[in-house]
Amino acid sequence: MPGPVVLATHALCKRYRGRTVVDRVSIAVERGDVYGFLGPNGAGKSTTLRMLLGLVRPTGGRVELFGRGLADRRVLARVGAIVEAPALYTYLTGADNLRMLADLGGGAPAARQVEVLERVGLRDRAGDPVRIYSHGMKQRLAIAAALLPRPELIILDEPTNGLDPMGIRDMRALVRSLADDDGITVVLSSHLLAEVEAVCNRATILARGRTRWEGDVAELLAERRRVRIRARPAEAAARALAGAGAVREVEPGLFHVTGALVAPAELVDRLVAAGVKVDEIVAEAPTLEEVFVSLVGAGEAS
Amino acid sequence: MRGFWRVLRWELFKLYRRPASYLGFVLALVFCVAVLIGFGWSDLKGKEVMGLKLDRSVYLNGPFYANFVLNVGFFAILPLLSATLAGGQLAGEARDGTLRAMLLRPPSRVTIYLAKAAATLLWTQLLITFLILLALLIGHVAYGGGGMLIYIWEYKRSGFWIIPSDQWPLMLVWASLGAGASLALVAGVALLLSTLTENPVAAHVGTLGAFFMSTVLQRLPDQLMGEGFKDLLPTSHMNFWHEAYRWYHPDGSTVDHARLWTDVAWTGGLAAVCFTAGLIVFVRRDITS
Repeated sequence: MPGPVVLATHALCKRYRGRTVVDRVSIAVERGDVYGFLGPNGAGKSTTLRMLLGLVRPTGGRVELFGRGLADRRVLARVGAIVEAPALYTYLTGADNLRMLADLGGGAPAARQVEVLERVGLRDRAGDPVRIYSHGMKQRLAIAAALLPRPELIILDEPTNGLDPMGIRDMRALVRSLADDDGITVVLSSHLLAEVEAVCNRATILARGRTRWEGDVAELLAERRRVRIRARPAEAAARALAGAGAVREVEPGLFHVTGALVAPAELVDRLVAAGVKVDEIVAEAPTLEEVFVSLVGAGEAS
Repeated sequence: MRGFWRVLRWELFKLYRRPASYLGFVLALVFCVAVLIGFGWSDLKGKEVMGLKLDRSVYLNGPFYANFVLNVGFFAILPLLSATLAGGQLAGEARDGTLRAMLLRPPSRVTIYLAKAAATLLWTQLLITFLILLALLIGHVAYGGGGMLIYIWEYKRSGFWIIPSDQWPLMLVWASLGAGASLALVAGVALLLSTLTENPVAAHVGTLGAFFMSTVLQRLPDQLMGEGFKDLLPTSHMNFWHEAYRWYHPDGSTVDHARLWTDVAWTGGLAAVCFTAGLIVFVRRDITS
């Protein structure tokens, strides 16, 4: 059963000097979702996220956070966000950055500030000026700042950009933990398909500002799952496979069954029962990357 | 309103903690020392201007030195510092990305803009106060105390006069507050330009360019530049704070109230236009940095 909608856009548009960069994007993010905006560079992901947060004014459509428009700025107290690179005052200490952002958000007790610093592993370095932090530490401090107000929704723009492999792994684990352990709804943008596949349950695929696909990531991959079968005689095999899904004979005796309605073992049973000899059967799970390319087109995807 | 004070407090805290904020104080010290050295090399003994014998023992003391520093500094370094400070407020934070961090919190853009404007004006006033106090300290140590000689060029028809030592401190306070209010126009222009760009240097250079252009045109002889045109130049009206010195005169107050309020209205009106235009731009602007 779907949860309440935390974030919704309705035909969101943005035009810059006559050029449409976001074109009628409508989404609904439900409580508990880890929702991905996926698309190549220039697809309109960052602009969309900025519109969700009120940094960029839509030229059409509207945004609703927790059922309210952005004119009510109080809704932002329930949102944590990191847009592009971590935005921190480098001449202030990590603790001062947190104190300021906490205070601007309506205040957070000192104990909460210590708690989030501990969670991101920066408690011992909180008194150091941010200018001496590494990129990964800055990213972690930005996450601490985003977590500070105990947000119900976190919006992350390309959260693993610039991180080393260990940092990427930690970030993905953190995103999953925010959703699974803290019940926080997460919206993130990424041009990394593996990232969206690894952490998101729902996603929108954007290309040239338009939604190419929106929905459940697992369902999308299941729909595109393919079973490759080599069997003979081909005519009898084709008859046996009829109705098992979308069947395409790519060469005589070689069939691709996509959106299979039955399990591979059952396909084998059907073929054997029809007196067909099965030479090969392989269940192929496509990666999101393959699905993405098929939806967006190789040229745009690159 | 509570949100405004909260943001203002943090804006002042950021200025207090940012090393670049102290450049103005260092420049103020350098300027005071440069004037001190210049005075040391001057040789006016025996010369006479407008009936006043320019004997150093008559005029050169702490109050004169402080007043001189304020008057010359008002055109030499204070606009530069005010423009640098205001120019960095929005453009600098937009360039660094920290502006969007602020805008992701509940305070509105109006609140943030007003708090930044107020912090700029307060810090500018702090700089002026520092400059005067430093000049008074240096001047008293170097030349001693006494009455303050008023020599302002635009009052040349009134000649020179000396404000007694029990009178000039209050007048210097009013003059410094007036100078701060006058520099609000420079800050307003810089803040407006700061909303239009993500490059603080562009806002800074644009403001100073406009200021110095207006100053140069205003100072050209009337034969070259008509008085009617000069009246339209902002810098023609920014010296209203000089009237503070005319509250005391040996023959009684000579304050030109008509001129004072005309200039206050011009400077205040232009500053208000700049601040308001900046606010409108900022509220409507897309933050893409």
